[in-house]
Amino acid sequence: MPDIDRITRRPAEYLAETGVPLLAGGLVWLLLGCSILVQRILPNTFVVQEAPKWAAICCCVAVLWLAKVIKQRAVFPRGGYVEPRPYRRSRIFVWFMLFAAGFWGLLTWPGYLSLIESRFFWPAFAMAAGAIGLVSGWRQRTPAMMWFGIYVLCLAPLLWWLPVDNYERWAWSQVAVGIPIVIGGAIRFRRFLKANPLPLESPHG
Amino acid sequence: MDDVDRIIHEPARLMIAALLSGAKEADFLFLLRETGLTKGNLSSHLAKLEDAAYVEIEKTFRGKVPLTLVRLTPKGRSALQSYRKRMNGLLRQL
Repeated sequence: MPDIDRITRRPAEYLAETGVPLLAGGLVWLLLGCSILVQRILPNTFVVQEAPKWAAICCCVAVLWLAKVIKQRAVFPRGGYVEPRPYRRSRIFVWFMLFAAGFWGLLTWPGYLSLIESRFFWPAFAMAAGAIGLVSGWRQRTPAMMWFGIYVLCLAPLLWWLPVDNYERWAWSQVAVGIPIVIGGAIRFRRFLKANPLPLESPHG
Repeated sequence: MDDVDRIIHEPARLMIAALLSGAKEADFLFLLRETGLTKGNLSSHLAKLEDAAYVEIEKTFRGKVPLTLVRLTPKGRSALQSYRKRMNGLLRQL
């Protein structure tokens, strides 16, 4: 009997294979990180400081809209249209969300709030996220995810070394994570376009 | 084996039903590419599934481009689940 569970996952895998979700997600991370870095070089007045933040939010909305347009104009005419059902989350993802929720709960507990301001916070977060990515990639046998996990682990000491405050450290971590995600998404999208030329005639029966 | 659903049991239709069970809806091109069937073959299998009320087919347009959307009905989803349980039970007996 064919592996029906594997076939059932194909609609979600197909959209991931196009690279569009990675491109959109990576760009959003990059834009949010860049907006903070731009704030740092602008004069410290209320209006000027708020402008990059709102510009980034508008750009993020534009990115999500653009992702939808790319799917409609480039992806669906080549590979077909599908709207996946919400899929069961993997156990690793569930553990990660529990860990993140517990972590944030602990940090927001009165008395622990100063931990967020601590220099070790973002490096520690990078180590945890990198470890989860590495283990997840190893279990699912996806080398790309494993390499990404190793990359994020290597970011941790760099984030620790950066001679900036925690807010800017966070911004640099977003930029550092966003760039490889965008590159990965672009490579996947290009690969999808090359492997799926536009059909010469309408396939619809 | 007599009580196995012959509509779903056919490999191509089983694959179509399994693909649609992971989606809210899919178009003809997606099913064509994922199943590897020819257009005529796929149309024929979809017609059989539609006759059994396992799928619903909507022919519409996206702009000026014709679009054939396919969805698995609740009856089709239930039939697929029952088929899986039946086949797993039969395989366990071997």
